[in-house]
Amino acid sequence: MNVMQVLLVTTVLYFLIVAVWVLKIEDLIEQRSEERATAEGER
Amino acid sequence: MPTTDAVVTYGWLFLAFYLVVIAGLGYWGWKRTGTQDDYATARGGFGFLALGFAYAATVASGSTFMGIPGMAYDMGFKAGYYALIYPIGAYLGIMLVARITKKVGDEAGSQSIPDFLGDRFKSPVIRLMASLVALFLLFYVMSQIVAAGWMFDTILGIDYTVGIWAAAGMLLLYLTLGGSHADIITDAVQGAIMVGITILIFAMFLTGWGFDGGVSAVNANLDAGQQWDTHTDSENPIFANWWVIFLLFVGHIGFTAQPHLGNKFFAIKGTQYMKKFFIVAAVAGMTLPLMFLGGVLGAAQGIEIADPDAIIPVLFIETLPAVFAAFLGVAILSAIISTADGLIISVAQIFANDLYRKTYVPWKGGDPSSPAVNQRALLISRVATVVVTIVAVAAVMTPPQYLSVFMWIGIGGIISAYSGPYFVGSLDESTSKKAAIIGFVAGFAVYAVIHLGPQMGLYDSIAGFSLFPYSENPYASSGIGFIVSCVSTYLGSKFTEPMAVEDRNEVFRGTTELSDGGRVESDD
Repeated sequence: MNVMQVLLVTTVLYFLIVAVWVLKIEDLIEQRSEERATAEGER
Repeated sequence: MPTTDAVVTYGWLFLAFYLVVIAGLGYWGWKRTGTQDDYATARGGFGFLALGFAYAATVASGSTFMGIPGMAYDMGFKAGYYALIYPIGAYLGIMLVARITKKVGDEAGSQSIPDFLGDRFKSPVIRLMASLVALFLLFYVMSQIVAAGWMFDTILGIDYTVGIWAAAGMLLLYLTLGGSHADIITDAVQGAIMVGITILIFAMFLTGWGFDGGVSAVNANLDAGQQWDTHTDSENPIFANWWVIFLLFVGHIGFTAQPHLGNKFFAIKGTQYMKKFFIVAAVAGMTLPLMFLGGVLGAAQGIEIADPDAIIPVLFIETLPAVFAAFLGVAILSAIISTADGLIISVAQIFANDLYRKTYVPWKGGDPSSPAVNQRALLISRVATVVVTIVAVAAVMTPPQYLSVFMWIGIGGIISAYSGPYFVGSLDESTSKKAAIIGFVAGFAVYAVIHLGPQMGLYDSIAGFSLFPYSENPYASSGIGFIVSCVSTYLGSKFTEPMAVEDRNEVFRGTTELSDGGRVESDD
């Protein structure tokens, strides 16, 4: 592979990570932080 | 420099237009700046689109048009490993900390990243340590002013010494009035223009501008060591092997901790816009470094220049109509200015907020949230903006010999010192103050030993082990600093008392008074 092909592959991987983060992980973090806030509120 | 009369004439026209625009935006910012908090952060003042472009432009900075293409002109295709890997690190970094910075920072009324660290750990000591390291960003401002001076010289044929004072005048024109509001809106416009120019360069590269046979012809016209099948070069500290290329990625994850970048998160309207902000910033931020292909193209065309950093303007002057070359010159100038402005605001905030409002006032027993203190802090912000700019210009009347070393005490030192407290402290609520201090000191110390010492000419090996490539590679050294800081913060938090639950509730979920007297609800 030449430099440009390696970079193309890494860029595509990066955008996949961004997509997964934005679609899934952000919501999970939000959800967990709300759960923790509720749990500590009840304590 | 091969400036032509036509380029100079068009250059003045574009410059005049640019001045009118930034003066207008300075006035726009001034109308929105009533308090110290507005000046320092423009809190809640921007949507995701403007802030995404502004963030990308600030990360990319003048180096997008100068340093990175210059590297590609020198080293060929392998420079792409810097150009397209550093943004991956930098934008993964914002994914990890942007939301928590916004949420916690808004609740505590933090006005800068050192201030955020102090508020996060409830520690004046961490705030003070972080602001002292951040003071070295003044050298970063100086390097941007030097670059602006050379751009005036290249495009308009103005003497360097006159050019740097002209750059200072342009900065002060809008910064003292509009603070962060003016900084962000000018950077957003700048970012959009930069993306446009990058697309032009990318198209020139893809069509093999000046060659028959497209991209392959560009590659064939490079020296053997610059061609795209050469990935590493053991003599070259930046690309010596795959490990240092990986470290370059790691080091840039910590880049988000830079005060002039981290403070942008406070300016977004609310955490619900964070996802859209990520997407705009991530796409624009990955596009801008494609500018390195302009450097590759210039090398393939056999353009001979003394200073590789000037390859993009020279490429435009030699191959495009004068009007394009002049527009590009002014665009580059404004890119440099757009990085300098954010830095100047951040350095001014070290004095106004971190040292005066949040350290000196409480130390004297005063209330940092009182209206009188806030008004004085706003005044200090404006005065410090002027003083920082003038000091930076005066210092580079003759460019200092070790400018880049001092600059990297700031950039690499901030990455190495802040990363543990900032990243581990954001992801793990229980991280203690002591663990943060351990990570801060350990990261900075290792970075200083492997990079700053050799750069200052003190030594180049330790106990017989050569420090190359770290001695000459600030990115890989920052990567080591990042790892050491995060690991020692994490380990430190295993062996020290965790942050008390009531403190964590107050910092991460509490409702506290904002510095301007307003309140931010915890559920926004």
